[in-house]
Amino acid sequence: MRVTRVAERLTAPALAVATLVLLSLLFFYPVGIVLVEAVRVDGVYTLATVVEVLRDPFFFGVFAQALSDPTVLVESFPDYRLGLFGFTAYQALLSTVAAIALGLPGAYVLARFEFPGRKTIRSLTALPFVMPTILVAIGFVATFGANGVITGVVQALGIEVSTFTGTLGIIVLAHAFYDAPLIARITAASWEGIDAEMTETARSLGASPLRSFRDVVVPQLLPAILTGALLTFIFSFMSFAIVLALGGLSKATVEVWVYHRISQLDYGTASTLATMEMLFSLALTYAYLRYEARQRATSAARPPDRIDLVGPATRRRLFAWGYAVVAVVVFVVPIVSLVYSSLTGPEGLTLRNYRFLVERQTSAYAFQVKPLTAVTNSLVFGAGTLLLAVPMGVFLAVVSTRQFRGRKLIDTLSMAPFAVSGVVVGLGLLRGWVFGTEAFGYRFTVTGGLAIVAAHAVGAYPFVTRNVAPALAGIDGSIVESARSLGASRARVMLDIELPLVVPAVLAGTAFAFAISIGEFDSTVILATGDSSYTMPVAIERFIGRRLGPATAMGVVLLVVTSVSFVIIDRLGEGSGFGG
Amino acid sequence: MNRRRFLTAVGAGAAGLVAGCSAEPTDDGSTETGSGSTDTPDTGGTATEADGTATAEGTVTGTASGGTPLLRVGTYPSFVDAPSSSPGPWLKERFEAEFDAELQWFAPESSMDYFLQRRQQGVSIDTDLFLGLAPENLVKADRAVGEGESMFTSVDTADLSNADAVVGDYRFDPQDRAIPVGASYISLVYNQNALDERGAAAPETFDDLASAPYENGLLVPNPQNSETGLEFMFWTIDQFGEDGYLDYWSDLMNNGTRVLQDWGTAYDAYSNDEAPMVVSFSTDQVYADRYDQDMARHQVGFLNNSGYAYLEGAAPFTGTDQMGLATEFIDFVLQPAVQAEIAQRNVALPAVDNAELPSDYYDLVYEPEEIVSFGYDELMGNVEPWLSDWSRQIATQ
Repeated sequence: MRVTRVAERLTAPALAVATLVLLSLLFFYPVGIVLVEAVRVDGVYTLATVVEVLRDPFFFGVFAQALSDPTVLVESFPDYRLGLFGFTAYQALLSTVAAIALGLPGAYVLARFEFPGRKTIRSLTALPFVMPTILVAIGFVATFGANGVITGVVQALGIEVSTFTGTLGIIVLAHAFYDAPLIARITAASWEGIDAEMTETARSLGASPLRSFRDVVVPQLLPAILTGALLTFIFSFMSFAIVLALGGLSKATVEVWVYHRISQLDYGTASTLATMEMLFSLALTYAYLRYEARQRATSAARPPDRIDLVGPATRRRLFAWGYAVVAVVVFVVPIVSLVYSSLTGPEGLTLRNYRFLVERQTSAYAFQVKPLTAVTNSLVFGAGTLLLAVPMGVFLAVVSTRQFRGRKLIDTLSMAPFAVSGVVVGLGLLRGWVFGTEAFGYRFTVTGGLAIVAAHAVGAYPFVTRNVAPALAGIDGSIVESARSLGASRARVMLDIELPLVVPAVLAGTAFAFAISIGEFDSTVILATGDSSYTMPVAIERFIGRRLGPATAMGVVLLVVTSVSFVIIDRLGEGSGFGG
Repeated sequence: MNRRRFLTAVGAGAAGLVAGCSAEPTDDGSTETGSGSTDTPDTGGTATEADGTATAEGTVTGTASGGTPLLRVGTYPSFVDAPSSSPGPWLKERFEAEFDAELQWFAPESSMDYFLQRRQQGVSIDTDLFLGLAPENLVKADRAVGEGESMFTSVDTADLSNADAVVGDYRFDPQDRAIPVGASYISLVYNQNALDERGAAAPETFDDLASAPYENGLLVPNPQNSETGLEFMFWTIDQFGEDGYLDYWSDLMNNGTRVLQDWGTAYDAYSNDEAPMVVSFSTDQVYADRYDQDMARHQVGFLNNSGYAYLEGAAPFTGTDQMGLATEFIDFVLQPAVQAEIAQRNVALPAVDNAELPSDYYDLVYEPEEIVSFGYDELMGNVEPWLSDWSRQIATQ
């Protein structure tokens, strides 16, 4: 009995150590390799590169200018030069505002209305978010480019415009398209958790519907909205492929610049920029976590009934229908445009792009990319990702809900992958593990496939943590206390009571992790150097040549695989209480 | 949740993950390229299995199974794996049919940079030569590895039977490490229909491109990721000088020129009618003809009667243990018939003057009056500052 107790007591620290070791191997060490270059020039440690970047108006605009001449702040007011960092933050801010504007009504419709297909649509709210950016870019070009559907509509209205691509607006819209579903998803979950009784009480005390919404509902939604906003800001700040494809170099962000410096083998500047980018994002994450800790809402005893979407026209229903139209335009048109362009060629409607995929599958050489192999690789890497990301994510969620000194630091560090770009993670894994690391007289190497799984797991586990942590925090403390008073150890309470209660959240996190692995591109493309480790997004990139056709056909395959696997995993959570 | 089942599953999966790791003693000189390849284990149970994963990543070279010599050739992805007709597969088949050797292609996404990174990390390259090396790649490699060293080793041109036929203008490596194996010209490709709609004639000079009729009209692949774009930038430096090219680019950008990710992206955007002009190749009509496209959409334009030569070479990696075979391979690639076939499959030009292409091939290929290209010495030490200044100007907000 005593041995079991000791073992149980040791389980938590053991898991903590195991997770930290895994994190160190998969993330901190590889990223550290890259970041060290920020302060090492020709083998000597120095802050010269950092200072140089800080003083460069190209990177910091008016702030760098102000370092040597503070009067510039007054003289040029308010026409400030933004610099690369300023511009990046500016577009991220605009993107966040746009994503909230687009996502909040969606959360309202999903949380408060009942209609056929609601659960599927809710599952699909994560799809644009995990859609490979390369597809977002293609879809947006097909919609808003010179020949795009929307461009045509705007032109028909008599407004003179040749294309929307290459503008800040299109980048912001693409980011909103990408992140609004996330905001809708997180906020809807929180909205569903608001106790109907609280609103009813407010109303019975004489508050108007608007007043009760503002005073009762909004404060409870704020943590969720801020979570979504923070994630959107960080993602838009570090956005890579969308900015590259839709904005071109003239709309370059820090992340795009890091990538370009790496491609010039200028690791010093690349690492310095990546470090600054990371510190900035980490600071945001830390600030948010402090905020969230005070705001955690408990789950609802009785959620309010949903309103049927079909019925006599009320203001609410009109709003919901109006939003549905906007959602169709913004979310469906790019995807339909993508599918449409996969089915067309210069001669009109054709299946030849899909025929190309079939021919490639049957007759390609071993060193060429085969569509089905790409699908299989993607699924295998996805499964491998879950194996690493789910236990790591769950355990870090457990740690983050415990009270101890330095918890916030661990919490923030565990969220660090949010703050580090896929390009840097990929490069670090390549240089650290694929090329090999020397220690104890041995050179340790891993295969490209394993490195890809590591990169995906690192990108995915924070999603598990973010899903599970709030659920764990929402567990009624009295249940835990009763179990403890009846003699259960802390570990036993965790395994027998708390974990089963958060299974739906774990499944939701699993779905995210899987989909992220399927769609990940930035680090995969760096690591997929062999002939056998390419994934679907890499295959799409390979198939882009003079003709977009084969790439869009492969894109549709990716879309289908992502959607199907995602809906399946998401639905698995239903029986255990996860709201679809 | 069934805990035991969960733990079993995790255990099995973890074993699978561990199988992808390996550790080798470092004191056997495994960081030296190609060393120890003569005792490559090609028999034996667990040893082969362990090395099976390693081979996929390229840590073992030397002999293929059965004692056939193995030649590992690095190249850029589209040479072996383009949606249309890459020369890679054909070249492998023909080479293997003619020589008692196996050719293994290796085309990492980051192309030459992959090998440069390995070299900088002190990891073996395990590839015998690189095919498709542009002059600026060679300069970059020479700058990256430091004084007195080279990623590549010189080829004795006396061993190359067709070396005399290599076009003089195409030779770019004074040390004969990179032997030219293909060429094409950077040019404009424009859509005559779209220009007609604007009432604009075909652009003839660089200044035309920056003038009102061509506003929002040009797509350029990003010189940072694309040889096509980089060489277009070199072309503008040749025209306007080191002191003038940035001003010219400023005019170009003010006229609505867009810089897109790479050549594929720019060409896609052009194909989608996002703009009437794109920086591409003077062989564009060969491709257009192959797919029966409207030639008006594939007009080739040289600026100031010049065109920048896009050159590709093949160069053996320093330390290869297959130098003989590598030289034989380059000799093979330089054969007139092989040059002709590669040119057609790559939609490009041969590097030799005695390749016999179909008589109508040159009807569709345009050559500029004046060939522009920077040699090794002009590029050395200049590529990074030129590109860096250019990038900062374009990205400045």
